Amino acid sequence: MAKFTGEKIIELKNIVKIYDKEKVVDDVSLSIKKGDFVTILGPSGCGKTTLLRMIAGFEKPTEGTIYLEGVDVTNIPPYKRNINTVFQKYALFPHLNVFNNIAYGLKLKTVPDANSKKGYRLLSQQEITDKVNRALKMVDLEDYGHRDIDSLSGGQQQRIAIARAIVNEPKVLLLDEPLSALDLKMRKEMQIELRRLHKELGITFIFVTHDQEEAMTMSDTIVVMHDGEIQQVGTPKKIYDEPQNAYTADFIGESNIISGKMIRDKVVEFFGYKFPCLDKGFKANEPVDVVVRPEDVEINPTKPQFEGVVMNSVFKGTFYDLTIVLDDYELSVKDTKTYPIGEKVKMAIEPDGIHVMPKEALTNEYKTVITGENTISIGDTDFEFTPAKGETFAKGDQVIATINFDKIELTDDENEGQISGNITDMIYKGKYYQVKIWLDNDTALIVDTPYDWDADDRVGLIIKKEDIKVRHDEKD
Amino acid sequence: MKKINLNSRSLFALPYVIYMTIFVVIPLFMLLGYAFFGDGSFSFAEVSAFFTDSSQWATVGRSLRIALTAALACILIGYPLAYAIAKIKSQTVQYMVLMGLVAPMWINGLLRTIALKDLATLMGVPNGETLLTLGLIIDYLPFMLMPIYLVITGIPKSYTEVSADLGASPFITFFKVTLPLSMSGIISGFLMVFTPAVSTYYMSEYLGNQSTFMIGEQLNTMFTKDNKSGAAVIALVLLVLVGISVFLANQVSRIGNNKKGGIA
Repeated sequence: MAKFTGEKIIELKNIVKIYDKEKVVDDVSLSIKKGDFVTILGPSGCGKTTLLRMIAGFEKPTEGTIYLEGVDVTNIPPYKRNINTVFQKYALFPHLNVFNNIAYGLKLKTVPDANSKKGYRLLSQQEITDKVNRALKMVDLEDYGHRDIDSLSGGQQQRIAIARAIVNEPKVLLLDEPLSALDLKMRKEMQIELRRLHKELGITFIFVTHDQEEAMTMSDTIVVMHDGEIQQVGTPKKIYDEPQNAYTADFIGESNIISGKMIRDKVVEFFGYKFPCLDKGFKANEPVDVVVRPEDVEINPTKPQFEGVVMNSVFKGTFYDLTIVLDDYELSVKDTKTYPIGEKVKMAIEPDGIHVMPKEALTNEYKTVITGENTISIGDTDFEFTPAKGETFAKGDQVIATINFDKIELTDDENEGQISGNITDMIYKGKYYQVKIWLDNDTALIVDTPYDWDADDRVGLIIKKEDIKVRHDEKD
Repeated sequence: MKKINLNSRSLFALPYVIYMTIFVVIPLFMLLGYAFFGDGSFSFAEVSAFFTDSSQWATVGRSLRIALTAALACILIGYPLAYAIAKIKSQTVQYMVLMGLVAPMWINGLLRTIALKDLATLMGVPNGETLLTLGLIIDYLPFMLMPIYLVITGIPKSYTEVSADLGASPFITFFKVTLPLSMSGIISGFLMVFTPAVSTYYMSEYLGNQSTFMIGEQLNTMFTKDNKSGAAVIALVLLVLVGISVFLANQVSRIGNNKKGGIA
């Protein structure tokens, strides 16, 4: 986790959120520095919106504490938190015009007043009008106050929603994928606009998005989330240059993810060559994932390390996107020059261009039960397995089945498989794709497959009985 | 070559046009015919007879008062009820409660009224305006409940969330967001109760007395006397009254909700 030196405005401690027995947010701890532009980045369903809704107060965490400026606000309702939200679908009140939408919060606000008996008063009509007009000017929609909400374009509605939130001068502004409903051009404009607003207002922005490019261009800090957990926190540059795991590397920008082996500290082997690198602390010969960004591969260097054959070259305006083949690995390389297809080229990677990360898992460890003589249940279906010699299992035994990623075959037609499931995360690993498949009973298997599938594809799975290794679950 | 365009989309409107002509336009002209040509030639006799008879005016006024009281009472009971049902977490429970409230409508209206009358007699409640109004409220409450319930459940959750986000307590949110946005439900509920109530016949017949003589009963009297022209005039008066109330209700709806719309 990144170290913050500045004042913390929001602190999340061990936040867990469970919906219908499903952990949507899993033990998230995070500090947000005052005045920062923080982006929570992740694919849909990663828990980022739930996290935002807990900060806003619309949801209560199942476990954990939320601090706003050091005060525990976990159980404070949203209307008592000095935080405002810009919703994904704007949610402008249809029964109020633009002015009254923006004035909504101001009309409820009280300010200290020594002359009043109560010690506070409501804002005057003049103060409200001034503030609303200033907010309208800030989002470039002066003179729109009298307009009806439905007479506005999507982009204008977005600006009004932002004005309605910032007019209250909140300590933190939450933005829940606010640009996702806009077209590309409008989105780019609003990105710049939001950056400008953030600078002018000086309030902390917490922005939620699934768009990594949006996150990279806008944020001071990016929080990468996946499956309810924080994967990495850091500046955009740090996250791009030093991804902490294969997931982050693949999600943030283009990268080559190569299976390798850590020979010893500062030496890693992949493509059958040994490369000097900066990483250490791994076991000798530990299998690892190596991440190399396409622009970190140098072609025809002074000290060549390995070679490959150019298979494809696409001009991308300022650079060429080259595909270079070594054995059966397709390496993606960016270069300002192009090379003839079929030509053999020599290449090198600087030590700081190589990022080594531990492999998250090497094989599926599937917890299940024995359902009969040498059969176990996988995704509600019985599978035969070959028991190891000397092992005996009885029906109902709790067991762990070990199935290697490359021993599961996928079929297009789900009926051809023994079981079926939906493809979720997919990471290209050069020689193959690694996909996660959710079976219908909400358990998952990881599969290495040579084919390019689409997320949410429905596939059949075939597992041979000799590839299922079963052992007793020790904990039982 | 000219082709008769039988595929024209306007052709689809034909069944509706035929239906409207047979069941709305022709009867309307028949009404006008009876009212103004009762004795073969055009005359204002029946119309002026109605408008110069102060007892007729009293009947109209009484009908309006009773129907209005019933409709307003239905709003006061129906709105909180609809709101409470809409806030029940389980959808199934919501439907079950609604079903329970709407189910009595499956029983014939006349039967229900007679049952109510017997119940009132048993409890010693005499016929009169109180019992009649109560009967109308009980009978027409589901017509108020349903439109309000549908509008409230249709308000996106994000509106109340935004309101809370901007500093409004649930109490303020109700008056500043939920109530204005459910105005159209209240208006349609009002019309669905008021319109049949103002012209009710059997309700006032069974639950009312001499002093609750309503316009529907007046209509019945005309028919039993075989005075078709008199009946036609009353029917036209009712038509105009309902027309005016729809217009007024839509005006109120516009004030409550500055978005265009409303119903009817």
